[in-house]
Amino acid sequence: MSVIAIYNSKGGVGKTAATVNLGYLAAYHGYRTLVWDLDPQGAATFYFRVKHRLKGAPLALTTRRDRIGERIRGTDFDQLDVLPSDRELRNIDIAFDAAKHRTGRLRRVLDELGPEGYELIFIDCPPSSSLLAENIFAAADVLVVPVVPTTLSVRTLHQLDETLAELGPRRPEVLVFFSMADGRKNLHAEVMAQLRQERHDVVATVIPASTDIELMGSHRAPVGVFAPTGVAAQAYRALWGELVARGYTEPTL
Amino acid sequence: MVQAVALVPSEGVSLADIDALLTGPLGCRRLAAGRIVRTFYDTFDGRFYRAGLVVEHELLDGRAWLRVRRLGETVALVQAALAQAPLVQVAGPVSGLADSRVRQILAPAAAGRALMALVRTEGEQLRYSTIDRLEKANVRVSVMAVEAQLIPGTGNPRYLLEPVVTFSPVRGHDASFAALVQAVELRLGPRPAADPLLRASGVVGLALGVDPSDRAVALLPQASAFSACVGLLARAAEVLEANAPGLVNQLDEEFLHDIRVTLRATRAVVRAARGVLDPSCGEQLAQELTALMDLTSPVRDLDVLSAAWAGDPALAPLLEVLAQDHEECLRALLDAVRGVAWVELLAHLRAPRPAPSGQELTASGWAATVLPVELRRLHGAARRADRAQEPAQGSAASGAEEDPLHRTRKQAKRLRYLLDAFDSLYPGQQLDGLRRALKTVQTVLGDYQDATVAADAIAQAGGRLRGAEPAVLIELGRRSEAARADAALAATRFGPAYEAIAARRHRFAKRLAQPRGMSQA
Repeated sequence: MSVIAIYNSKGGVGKTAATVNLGYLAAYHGYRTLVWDLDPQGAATFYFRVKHRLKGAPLALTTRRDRIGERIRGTDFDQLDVLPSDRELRNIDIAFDAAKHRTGRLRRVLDELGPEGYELIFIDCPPSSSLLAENIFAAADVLVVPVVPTTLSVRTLHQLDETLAELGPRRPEVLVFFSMADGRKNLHAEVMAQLRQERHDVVATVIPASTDIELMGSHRAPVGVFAPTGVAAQAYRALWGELVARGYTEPTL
Repeated sequence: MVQAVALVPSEGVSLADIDALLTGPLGCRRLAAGRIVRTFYDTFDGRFYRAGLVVEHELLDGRAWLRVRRLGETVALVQAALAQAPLVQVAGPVSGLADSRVRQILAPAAAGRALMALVRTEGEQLRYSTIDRLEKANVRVSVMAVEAQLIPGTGNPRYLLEPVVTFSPVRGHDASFAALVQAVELRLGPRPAADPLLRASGVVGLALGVDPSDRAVALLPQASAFSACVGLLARAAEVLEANAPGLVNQLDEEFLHDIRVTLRATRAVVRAARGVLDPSCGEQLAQELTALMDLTSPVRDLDVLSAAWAGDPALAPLLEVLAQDHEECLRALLDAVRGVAWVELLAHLRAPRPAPSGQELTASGWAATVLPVELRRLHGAARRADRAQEPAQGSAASGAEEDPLHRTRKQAKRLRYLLDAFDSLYPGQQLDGLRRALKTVQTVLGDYQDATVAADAIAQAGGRLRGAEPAVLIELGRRSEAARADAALAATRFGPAYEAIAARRHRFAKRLAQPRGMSQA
């Protein structure tokens, strides 16, 4: 089982779109895949046409782990399930704070999911740098970080570096990709070039700002389903290819 | 967690019937169909299958991946292997895998053996799903009728398997799943489908999970010698039968190798069974075994030579000649294996007759009688061979007389096969010293044999290549001389190698005379 968390403490950078499309591509390529929607807004759950749950997630994550598997729902796609969002997830930090091993709760829940046989788990993370984020850092094998090529977004990436540095050798690997990039903007081109010079963990694929991605909400499906030949679908396929090539889709031993 | 269910409909139910049922009263929606090609792999000796694992390469609508999955009962070994089970996109055949992480993961489970394609299935997959009032899939159904083929598939027939209906649950819709499965069971009267690999291999006649190299039989010391002989011959028949499809379909040269070794070993047992088997029965078996051996030897020799010389441009004309010879010899061998002689041999191996006089010999008594004699024969052959190496004796063999070293090699093999056959009758390490010494001698004699066969093959082929370029003939002459020199060198190594047996032959003979259940006198 390999755990890939799509994370950025900044909101609106394309985390959910990336999670939904990568999850879909993983299942399409035969991986038994779970998308875990940890964002209380529940956008990933919505995209997969699964009903939101109203409550219970914080309890299931902290005191009643053994029932988490019962919350999993199938999607319209073979091999792809979703662990739906829950509005009470907005209170998850409070629940974590009150629990023992407060930064290792998520990892424990993932271990409990072992018998379910998922080969890949994608976590759609909420924009947060709180206790939930620490749990995500402890649980994920790799953090896939979408970065909009703007100054503010790059700044949050540096903040993430500082946070992870404090974790020492326990920190997960980081993979950065540019999201919502607009080739017509000089600022985007400059930021992308500069960040590529500074870092070695930036992948070649760029997810463009695309109408197809915005249309995911109308179709309630990944772009590969309703616009498979579009630029956005091709970009997500390339991003998936980079994850495979770097070995992040192989089971962690 | 609800698991997928695979069912085979009753006989006579066609794909159209299933389609009509699913899309009609059961309200399933038809989805796009796809084509699936599955290739199942294992090592030559079936390590993955015996560990309860299946290595499967699947192609579906242009997508391809390799998976290792569990077969049947879960055991600790399977669990451990699955903890590292890869599911990786592999576009080409598994044999073409680069030195990737997949190969690294598979290698320990395969114990370094190459993975070999066994069976391929191919067919159209019809897909359906049931939908709820929110237009959401809540049960997935696939219907497949595949053709199975033993591979490599150029000339092999394809066998159509009965269709299988597979129901895959969607999480959170367990009730819909159970209701649909029940409805199909009621209307089509289906039965559970076996694993795809088992169904395919059954139809193409492949014996899975049998180690085709394992000739070992646990003999009981106090059982009669005849019953021990029956056990050894019956096992030999099983091994021959398990290897035959691999040879006939040319899956791997190892199948021929195992057949040859089994024929030789069985001939050694039959020869040693004088007084145990009915004489006419023993004689008939010996003739049948020898006739088959004579057909296998040239094929194996030509396989070895062609592999050793492949890619050498200087030997290209020679390789062409060898390829023609190989084709001819192989055809004769395959005709025999597909023919009546093979069937009769297996039948005779499974129904030997005992010697008419009331022999009270036990299995241990048989071993204690036969093995020291075979050791003495080896010593005699070795002495003659050693004498032949002395300068005063000149060339090792002349005229119609068999080469003494070749004769010694055959006698050493015979003793080795009998040691293997009677192994279970001796305590722990009693025969280890003899085995080690024998192995050293066999290695030297094997080198001698390989070099001699190579030189002979070049000489024979050279006669047929008289019209070839002078440069080719000169090169062949040079190679022939080099092979003769290698043979001469191996011959000089024989004496020192045999010394390990000669020096301790009385001790070895004494140990051979003391199997379990025999007095220490």
